[in-house]
Amino acid sequence: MKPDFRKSMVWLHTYSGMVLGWLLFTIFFTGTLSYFNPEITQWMQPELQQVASSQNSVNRSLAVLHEEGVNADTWRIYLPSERTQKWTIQWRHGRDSHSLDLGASLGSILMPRETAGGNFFRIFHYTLQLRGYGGRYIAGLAAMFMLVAVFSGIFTHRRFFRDFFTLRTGKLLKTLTDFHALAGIITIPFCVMICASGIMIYVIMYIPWSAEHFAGGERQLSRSLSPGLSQLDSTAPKAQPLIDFSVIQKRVNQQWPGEKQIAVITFEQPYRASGRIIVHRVNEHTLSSQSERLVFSSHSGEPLPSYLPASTAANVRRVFFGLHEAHFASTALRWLLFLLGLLSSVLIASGLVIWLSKRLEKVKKRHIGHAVVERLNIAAISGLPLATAAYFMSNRVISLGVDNRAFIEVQVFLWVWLGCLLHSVMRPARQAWIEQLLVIAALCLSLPLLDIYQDPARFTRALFAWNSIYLGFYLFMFFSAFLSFKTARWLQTKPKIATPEKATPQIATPQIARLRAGRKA
Amino acid sequence: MSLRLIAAVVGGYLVAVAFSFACVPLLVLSHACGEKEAVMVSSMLSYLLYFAVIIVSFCRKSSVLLWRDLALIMFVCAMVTYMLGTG
Repeated sequence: MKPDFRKSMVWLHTYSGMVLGWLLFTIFFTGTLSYFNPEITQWMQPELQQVASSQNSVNRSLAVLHEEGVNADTWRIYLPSERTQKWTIQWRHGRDSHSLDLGASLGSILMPRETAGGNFFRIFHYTLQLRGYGGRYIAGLAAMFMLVAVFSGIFTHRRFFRDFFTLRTGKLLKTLTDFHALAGIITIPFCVMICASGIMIYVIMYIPWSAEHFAGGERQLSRSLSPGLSQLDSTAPKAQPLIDFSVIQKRVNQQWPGEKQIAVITFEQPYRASGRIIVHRVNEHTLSSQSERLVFSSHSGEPLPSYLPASTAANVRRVFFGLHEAHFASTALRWLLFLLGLLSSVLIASGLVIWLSKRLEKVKKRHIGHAVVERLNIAAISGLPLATAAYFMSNRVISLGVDNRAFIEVQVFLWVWLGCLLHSVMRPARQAWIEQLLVIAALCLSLPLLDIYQDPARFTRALFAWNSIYLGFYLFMFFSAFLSFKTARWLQTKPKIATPEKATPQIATPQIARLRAGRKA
Repeated sequence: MSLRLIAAVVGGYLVAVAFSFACVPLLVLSHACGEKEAVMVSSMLSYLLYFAVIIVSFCRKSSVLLWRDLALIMFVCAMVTYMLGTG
């Protein structure tokens, strides 16, 4: 193999990053967007009103449920928060489930447009729209690749600290290489945390045999590690569910001091004497993905025995889960994580570009592989943001009454992305970059304008209520438009072919030569 | 080269699976935790081993020695599982 440890790490870094680079970029980009999952959904459902500050919301939900959900098996109330602005009640008879979105004024019911919202990005970033076909295994594999790439990337630097403080401007490749090193060092903790915790979410699913042998399967294992509540007796005598929640609210306030501590309230068998209420706390107080819960009787409001504490191992796994999802993060920390996520995406993208341009400088005759990498780079790095912008655009353009609206939005995303790939194949590489970046700029710029044109009331309402989330989305769109426009302009003015460099230590070349030799052998 | 790749991806995975079995009786016998919990702990730890195998596969000098070591680890894990296995 390679003569020393560092050389082999350089090789490993180059190829572990390259092979799945586009997939990693996709996962990191969509995953980063899902840090703002509820915020994006809120923007994509502008029919929702400011309901977070509604008074007495639990009792009002209960009043509706008493009317609509008679004799249901479960009731559920999702209380609104500043982030979601979504206040939903749900009731279920067996498998038959209904839900309503409540509005701020008394008795009003909202009909938000049908959309997958930001949740699409969340689901996409670990299933890749292939949930039944091993999408989650691919995502796990990608996480492992990223860990290997990060680890080996550390050893590619002979002078770790000097490299950190170097940023040569002027030549594109040098700037990119220095930027790659800089961004890489900044995002080491973030990438390790995100990849390791991503794997830990499906820790048993990826290596299931031990759990199957000792516990009989993943489900049985997690049931014995974090026991649920006892099965409810659905033949118990009938009883009316309580109407006034204040009995419980008082007890909840004693346990969880502070305003607005409840996120979700679940009623199980509300019309039976054995029925119970499970109150879920908002999950910003804990690193774990499982928020605290309290259990009460559904007709008297008396406290019932709650969940048994989960075992340490299960809790450790939940903390990994919680770290990955970052529901605990306050706004500032969330933005920091978002920026780190973006920086990691840029890190991967710059790595891919470096891989290509280093090789294009050296070779006289292009190999087919170079063309493939070049086109895939364009389709992933500029095509994915373009498809994302198109997804937002379709949310505003597709008329509201269409069947399967949410599905069509996702289709738009996928087809536009495919279109980007085709476009990148048809056009010369630099033209393809510039054109796609300009389209992104145009889409991002026209999104807020279109939104204001469609219904100026949305904007004025958000402005007067100082809805920082809605306005923040506008600002971020303008910012993205500006950024991609600037990049496109800069690409236009850049000299056609980068002048070959001489004095820089080229690490990767002997490896390729050796690799080629190895392939032939 | 391809031998190393297989060692890293497949061999590493097999070592991780073997470890996720073998570690359970060890944890139980050392009274660290109950059996079910041990399954979770050893599954989590097995990924560390997987990662280590990947890195080692690409920097060992000889791929024969590499495969010998992987086989050795798997053999030891299998022995531990059968000798001490309670499940």
